[in-house]
Amino acid sequence: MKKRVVINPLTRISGFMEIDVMLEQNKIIEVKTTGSIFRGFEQMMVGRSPFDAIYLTQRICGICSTAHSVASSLALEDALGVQVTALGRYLRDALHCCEFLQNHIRHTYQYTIPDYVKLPDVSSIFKVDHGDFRLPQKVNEQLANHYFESLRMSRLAHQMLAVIGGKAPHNHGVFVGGISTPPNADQIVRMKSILQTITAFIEEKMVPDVYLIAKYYDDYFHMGKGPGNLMSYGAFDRYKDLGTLYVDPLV
Amino acid sequence: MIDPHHVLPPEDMSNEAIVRRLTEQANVRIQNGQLKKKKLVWLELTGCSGNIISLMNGFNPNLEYMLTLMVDLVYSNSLMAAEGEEAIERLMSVLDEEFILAVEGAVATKNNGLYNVIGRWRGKPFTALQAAKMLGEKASHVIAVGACAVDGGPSAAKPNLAECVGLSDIVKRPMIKLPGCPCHPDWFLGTLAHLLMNGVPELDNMDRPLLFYSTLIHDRCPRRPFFDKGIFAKTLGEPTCLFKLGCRGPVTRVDCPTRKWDGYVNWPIGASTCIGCSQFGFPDKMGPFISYDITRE
Ligand code: SF4
Repeated sequence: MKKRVVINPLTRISGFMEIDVMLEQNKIIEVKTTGSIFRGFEQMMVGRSPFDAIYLTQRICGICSTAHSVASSLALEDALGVQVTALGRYLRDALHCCEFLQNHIRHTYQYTIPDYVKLPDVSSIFKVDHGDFRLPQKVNEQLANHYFESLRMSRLAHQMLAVIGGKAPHNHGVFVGGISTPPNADQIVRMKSILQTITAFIEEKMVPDVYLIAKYYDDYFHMGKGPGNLMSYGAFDRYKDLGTLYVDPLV
Repeated sequence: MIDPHHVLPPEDMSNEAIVRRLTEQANVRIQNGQLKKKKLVWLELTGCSGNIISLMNGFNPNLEYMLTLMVDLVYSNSLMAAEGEEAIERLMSVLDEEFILAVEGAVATKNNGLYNVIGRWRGKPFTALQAAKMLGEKASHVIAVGACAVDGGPSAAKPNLAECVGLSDIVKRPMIKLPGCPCHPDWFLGTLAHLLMNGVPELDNMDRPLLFYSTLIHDRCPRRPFFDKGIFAKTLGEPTCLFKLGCRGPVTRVDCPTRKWDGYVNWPIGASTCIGCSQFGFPDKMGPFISYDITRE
């Protein structure tokens, strides 16, 4: 017997998505995903000043806006034949890294943790009727505390971005040639100091928390595996002095 | 549990400690039923969902404070644990109660709103358009948060294929407008605090709270002395006035220069030009954001 399950909204993402699943004897036989928002950013660019793309494309997405400014500035450099300096690239990538930190912390705690951790009764948004909650009470409590602690950390990651990016989301720092205004020493040391706090949180709490969840849900590793065809444009890669810090382009 | 009303010396007077004490006190009162928090619905409609991200960037007050002390947040696509039909049921249940509505994102109107479906209700697509009408009519107060909700913003940028409009084109009623792309967390939380404590704040003739939107960026800009002396930057990165590079500070009304962003560390003109994101008509009426060719010596 076939059974259809539709989940919409798929909450705790930045945007709108529907998951439509067809089951037969408890086995998934077909899945459709639909992104349910259309604004047409490509068409919006037509007839605009090219530099505006760096700002306007950021409005595609609030949680990863810097990625869009970086992509636009790379495209413009390509079109204008501008060669970015090593320093320009480092600074732009540093801004992009701040966005990664913000995004990954929020993705882990605000968007994913509520599937595994029962959050305290302080707000209606934490109420949930269904779920596969397995963590012992003490572990649950610890991770719930980290949910709240993480809010400060992701905030700090955006603060670090704003120190040279002006504001976040939707920064004013990324530009053709790297960044719009080079930072001075006090801005750099401010960013480094913030980074220290965030790094400690990630190493001491976030990474262990992810392992903890993986331990209690190890069967999830064998569920819903995709075809494994993945593509990466590369990020923070192939620096002259430092080599690849994150990932090379690959298929 | 230690009674949170008693603080033993030495008192920790840091902001964090004060917030924590207040939160604990409020929690006790909420649990005793002495305090009932107003319900808040945060609707993400046609936009980038960046206003809720900006809200999470609030320092004092912060999101934790808002969630535990200020309101009972009932619906938020980005934050709520429930999903699917269960989430939409939560949203519908609020219609019979008193609630404040915050909306971010424009309203896509093309094809009966099908360009933005925010969920399913009884098996059918539930559009941003339906949600705006349904909840907008029933809410005790409506706050349009960010450029898209206020007048279409980037979602309505030419050629506007989804036929996006601002909330007030769909919901005909008084509302508070907080333009900005995104809206600064303080502008929203300050407005919310005013609403809870003293009712609707004083608004200008465009429905913006005077508390935040009464001064021109250009009048408070630290680069203003250069403007007055006619010293203009030729490239971004120079410390002088950015007017000739296309700065929109002279037409944008908000407290950005004095408030600053993300824990008050910097602001757009600290990095490049103001693009007028808090002014009506953004982005189409504010472009080009950077122009290298309007000045010739
Ligand atoms: S930088 Fe912009 S806001 Fe500041 S003085 Fe110049 S024109 Fe005015």
